Parts: sequence; structure tokens; C-alpha cells
Amino acid sequence: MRAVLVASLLLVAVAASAQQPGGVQIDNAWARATPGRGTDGVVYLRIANTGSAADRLVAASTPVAAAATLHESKVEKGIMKMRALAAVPVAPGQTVELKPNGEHVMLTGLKQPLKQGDSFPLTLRFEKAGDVAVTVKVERPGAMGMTPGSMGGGMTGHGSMPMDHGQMGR
Amino acid sequence: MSRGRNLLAAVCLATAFAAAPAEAERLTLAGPLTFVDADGKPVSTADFAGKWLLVYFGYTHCVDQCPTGLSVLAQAMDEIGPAAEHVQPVFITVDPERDHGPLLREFTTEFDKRLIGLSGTPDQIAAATKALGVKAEKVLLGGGDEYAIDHSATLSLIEPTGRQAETFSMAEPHQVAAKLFDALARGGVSLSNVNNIGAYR
Repeated sequence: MRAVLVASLLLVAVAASAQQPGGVQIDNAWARATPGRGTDGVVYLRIANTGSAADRLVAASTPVAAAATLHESKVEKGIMKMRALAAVPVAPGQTVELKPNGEHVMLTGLKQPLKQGDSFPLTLRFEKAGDVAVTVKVERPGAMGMTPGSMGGGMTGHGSMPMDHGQMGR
Repeated sequence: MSRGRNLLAAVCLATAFAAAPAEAERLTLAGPLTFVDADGKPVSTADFAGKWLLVYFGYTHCVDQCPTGLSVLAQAMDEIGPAAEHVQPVFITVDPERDHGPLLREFTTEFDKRLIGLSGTPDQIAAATKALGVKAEKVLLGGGDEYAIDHSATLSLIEPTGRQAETFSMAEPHQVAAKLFDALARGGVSLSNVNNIGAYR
């Protein structure tokens, strides 16, 4: 039943992106596993705007949580901050990555813990492209994601590095 | 640990330190800091005699930056190999209102079995942040009663005496490992059994 649901959502997603002249494409959608009593989660993903017009991610929703909100993390003057975001703009031809220590989708009121290896549906709402459904894969709790070609990509143990190595030599 | 990785670590260290001079604040603590652990039992920094305490301040509802910070801490513990027996990693919540009991334990064990989660009264947490030069401030997120807690992007290291500590900027795991080796060596711990120590110095 769940598989059918996911499959139909995927079909909707394919149909939605196919209907858009260009539009947005989502890939690499993943979440961190959550501890047993935790009710908050986080989703990261990559948005490619393959169309000729600017678009904006304005909302998200999922059946696994009471709410999904757009957030941004940043460090200002040595202080870690997290704030709600009204939208994530994606210019034509641009790829925006929601990733650790940056923009993300925060899930609150999780109905059950997110377990590593599971996946769940998430619907993203874009101002122009409309609703796009994606399947989110659950990684381990402290996962940092894998960026192709990054220096941390081949490491084992507690996972890849927490910062962008590309910036270290600057 | 591969030679390639150590070379990589050495190169990264060189470039990172060249780019960012160490920002560490050395602190003198007036006395032991007290907390309540996940079992509801009182705990003090004096209860870890002989160990360096590597402290990260955060909160369990922080889904993005805090798991990242704890991953750094866990990875640094792995990198220092056998020297890790001298270090106790600690997660101190800046959100004692929501973080206590089993939730606190489940959160910490997800990252590293060695990691201990500490909560306490708001006064105990305020005393700890003040003593270690850490800032924490509750911020409403707009809708309803959801809130975030802005907090310093730092790690703190408390020496075994419990009287001296330093708080430094969050860094890459190998930089934290280098910081630990430096502190352990200053404290007279032999690092002769640590492989490739040279890559961190």
C-alpha cells in the first residue's frame, strides 16, 4: 500500500516536472535518522532550475510530520543561529543545494522516528512549478551528505567532513 | 588510518592554520560545574577526575548544526586513537526545559556511545555557559511556541583539575584532534602509542 502510494507520488512528480517547460528538478533528497523520542527532523536536497524563469521554493509538507518548514542555519559572529525562511529562490540555470549548516527543511511533530534506511514522501511547493513530490532517504543521525568530488567523499567511520574542503585553501 | 589520509590531514592543517589563527579563550574556573544527567542524578565536573572534558553546548531540537557539531566531536575522538581514554566527550544542553531524561540519552548515544548528555536547572546551565564563555539565547521562530536557541559555535576543553579550561571555535575533526593532542601533551600524557602523531603537529 505504502509502495503504491510512493509510486503514485513519484508518477505525480514525473508528470509535474514533465509538464513544466524546463521547471525544477529535485535530486539527492535525504534526511537524518532521529532518536526514539525526538519529534524533530531535517531534510536536505538539491534543486535544479532547468527552466528559463526564476522560481522559488515556498513550502513543504509530508505525511510523516505535523509540519515541514523552510529554515536556514548560519554562524554570525561565532554564534550558531537557525531562522525560518520565507522562500528559497532558484534562478534559471541555477542549482541550489539544501545541505548541513545551511538551508534545510525542518520537520516538526514527527509521527514516528525516522529510521536509517527508510524513505518517506515529501512534497515541495514552488511558486511557478507548483507541487513536486520527492522521496526522501533516511541516512544516519550525524550524516553530512556526500558531495561528488569532495575531499570527504571517500572517508569511512563517522562520515564525511563537516565543512566544505573547497574553501579551506582560500 | 591510511597514509593518504594523514597526508591530507597535514595539508589541511597547514592551510587551515594559515588561513585562520587559533581563536581560543583560556578560562579559569572558580569551582566545579554541576549538572543533572540523563538518569536524573547530580553530576559535577569534579566527577571525571583524571580526564579532559571535551564539551559541546547544543540542544536536541537543533536538527541541523548540533548533529553536525556532535559528528565533529565523535570523529575527533576516533582520530586521537588510544589517547581517547583520557578524554570524556560531553554534550551540555542549552535547552534544559525540553532536554532531560531518556530523550537526552537517546540523542547522545546516536552519535557516540562515549558521549554523555548533561542537563540541569536553568541556573546550572547558565553558570556553565558563563564559566566557559559560551553564549546561549532563546529565539522564537515566529509560528506558535516553536523556538530555537542561538548558541556559540564552539567547543570547550576542561582540564582534569577542573580549574582551567579553554573555549575554541568549532573546527574540522582533525583540527579538534590536534587541539586534544596538544592539551594532552601539555598535561604530561604520553602520546608515544598514537600512530602518525606527526600528522597533527
